[in-house]
Order: sequence, then structure tokens, then C-alpha cells
Amino acid sequence: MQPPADSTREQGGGSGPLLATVVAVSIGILVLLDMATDLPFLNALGALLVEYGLIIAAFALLLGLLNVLSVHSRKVRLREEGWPYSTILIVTTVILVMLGLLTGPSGGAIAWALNNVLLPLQAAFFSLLAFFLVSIAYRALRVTSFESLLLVGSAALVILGATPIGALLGPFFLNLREGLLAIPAMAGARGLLLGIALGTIITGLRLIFDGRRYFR
Amino acid sequence: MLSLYSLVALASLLTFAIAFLLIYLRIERGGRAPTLRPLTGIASLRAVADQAIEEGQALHLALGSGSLSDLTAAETAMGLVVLDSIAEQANRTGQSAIVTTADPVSQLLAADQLRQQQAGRGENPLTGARFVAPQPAAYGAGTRGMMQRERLGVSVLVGHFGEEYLFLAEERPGGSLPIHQPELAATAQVETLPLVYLTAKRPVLGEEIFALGAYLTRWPSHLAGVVLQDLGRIIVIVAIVVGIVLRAAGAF
Repeated sequence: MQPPADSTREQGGGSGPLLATVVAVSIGILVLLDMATDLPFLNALGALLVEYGLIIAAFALLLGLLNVLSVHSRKVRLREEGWPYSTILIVTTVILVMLGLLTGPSGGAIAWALNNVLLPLQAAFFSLLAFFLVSIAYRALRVTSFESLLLVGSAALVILGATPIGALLGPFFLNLREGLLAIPAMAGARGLLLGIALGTIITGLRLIFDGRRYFR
Repeated sequence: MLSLYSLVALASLLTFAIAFLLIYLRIERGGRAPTLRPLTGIASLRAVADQAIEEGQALHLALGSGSLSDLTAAETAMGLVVLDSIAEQANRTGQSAIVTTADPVSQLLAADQLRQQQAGRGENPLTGARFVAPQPAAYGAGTRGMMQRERLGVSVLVGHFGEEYLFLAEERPGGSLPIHQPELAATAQVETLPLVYLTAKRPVLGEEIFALGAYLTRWPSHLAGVVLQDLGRIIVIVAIVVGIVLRAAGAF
């Protein structure tokens, strides 16, 4: 299989993209070397570059906020479905931003909103996951193939070993559960993690050495 | 002075980097590109975009709650690679793509990709690429609401997903505002993989997410990455077997 002949989309044009690519590749290599070594000069330089990155990311967050406001104000303007929710979002955002500007990011009003509105809402929302999980578990526990039979069998044994009924039946189910989790499940997870680690390293290298398509 | 740990880390990185560059240059200069084994989920991604086109609905790509500035950067970057491919395909047929993310930097990159793909169509890429919220729960809630209200028929989930994956993947088939199961979902988050396997029509599990670019774009750098990934896997397997033998022989 040959690479595509029209790989021009990868190519940058002019000196601007080239300069951006050179800067990005150099910074990527420097930060990578910083992570892999304990040389004080490289460590200081790496920390400085990462700090610059964080500052730029903070500006991106501001643009993200503008994006949220832009998307939802459009919905309100065009009276799209759910526009009242968008109105609530815009009003809440503006009020919180103003409170944040007046009292600081950790001011009393912001802290109150965080502790009494945002965190309880998040907790309530995540509590819904239990119902979603039951629905998925129901689908998972239908035996339709040999694989699903193995899945159901293992799940039944692990559940039996983790509940008081298993303990009443003797140590066998407890030991079996521990064995299932410690050997086949752990072996599978480690295999996956090794593959993921390799993929992550190689994706990082690819972004450093071939990031030019981002600077077209 | 470098410690032993630093030396090993540096040597491994250099070896990987040199190997990557050699394979990459060889493929780019017209060398024989590797033959990719068929992966069902990946091979059918183009069919997913076609389905969205046939149904006349916008294609939704969720990049997840990961970020380009932390340990989830590799998964998030693969989401952007998939965006590049499906947005190009959707654009050829005049279809829209909606991207949702919890990372403002990814949102900017996604908007830029949409801008390049949709040049001249008069669409605003900033409303196509949407920063939903930085927290996973808020991202899941906001995106699910959007999927319901905007009736997105086809969803592709590629990136880093934690528990909030379920909010995006749990289907709600009936009613006036249905949510369909994801056509394709890919993540490297081990805890989320069982959920992906059970909910997505085409699950792409674990390290397969990093091969998406090679299958979709066939760009030399992606192909080189897949080759190196396979070589690295063989080296790791050999190292494990040698370690087991030496340990069994009492060498350490």
C-alpha cells in the first residue's frame, strides 16, 4: 500500500508555517529532554516553557467562554429548541463572571456558588450513572455468544465473592474472586496499559516531528 | 550528572525517536508502506459519515473530557485526527459536523480544522466546534442535552472519557427527543473500555485508538507510528519472556 500521492494537505506553505513548525518542534524536544533528564538548566527551561503554555491555555479558556456565550446567544436569538435553558446559562455565566471580578476567584459569593450549587449538581448528576449502569449491565448479562457466557460467568463469580452470600458459602468464592481479579483481569489490564503507553509515546513523537499540519 | 534512571529514559526516547524518523522518512520517500490488518471499527468509520449524510443529519464528534495539556493529550489529539478525516468527508457532501470538547485548546484547533474544511461555505466554525464545559460532569450533561435538542443522529466518540461517557453513550431510543447509541467510540481509558464495548456499535479499544490516523489518513507519519507501535510491542513481549526465564532461572 502506497502513501497517498496528494499528501499536500500535510505541507505547510510559506515561511510562516515553517517558522511555527521549527519553534514548536524545538520546544517539544526541549520539554521532552527536560522530562527525561535531571539537568538543572534543562529543568528550569522546561518549567518556564510549560508555564508559558499554561498562560496561553488560560487565554484559550477565555476564548472557550466566549464560544459558549456565542453558541447559546445564537440559540436564544433564533429561538431554537431549548433556548430558555440557554438564557439561564448566559445569565448565570454573566452574574458569576461579574461576581468573580468584584470579589476575586475565591471570593465568598463564588465559593458559595461552587459549594452549594455546582458541587451538589455534579454529585446529583453522577448519581444518575447508577441507573445507566444497571441498564448496561442488563444488556451485558444476556448470553448471546461464548464470549458473553464467559463475561456473565466471571461477573457472577466475582459478585458472589463480593457479597455476604459468598462469604456464607465458604472461602472458596472469596478466593476465586481474588484470583480472577488478580490474575486474568490484571493481566489483561496490564497488556492494555503497555499498548496504550507505547501508543502515547509514539503519538507524542509524531506530534513533535510531524506537527506541521497544525501550522498551515 | 545524569542518574541511571535518566540515562535509561533518555536512551529509550532517543531510540524511539530515531526509529520513528527512519521509518517515517522511508515511507515518505516512496518506500513500501505497511499493510494494515483490517480493524472492523476503524474500517467502517467512513461508513458512519456516509450514514450521517444519508440521514441528512449533522455528524457529532465528541472529543471527550481530555485536554491537550495533560496526560490525556494523545487521546485528544487522535480525536482531532478523526475530525480532520470525517469533516473533510462531510464537507464534500455539504454536511455539517459538530464537535464538542471539554478543552478550550482542542476547541480552537477543531474550529480551525472546520474553518479550513468549510472554507467558502459561509458556516461559522466557532458554532460547529463547541467548548461545552471543563468539568467532566458538566461536559457530559451539556453534550447529552445538545444531542437531544439538536437531534444528532450519528455520534462518534473519540478521545478521553471517564464516567461521563455513559451520559453520551446511553441510548434513549423512544420519545420525541431520541438519543442513539454511538456509531463508533474509542478511548484508551481502561476503566471506560467495558462501557465502550457494551454501548458502541463499533468499539475501538485501548491502543487501537492510536492507529486511527493510519487507517483514516494513511499519512506517512501515522503509518510510521503504527509500524513502531508493533515493533515496540514485540520488544516488550520479548523483554517480558526473557525476564520470566531469567527470574525462573534465579538470575535475579
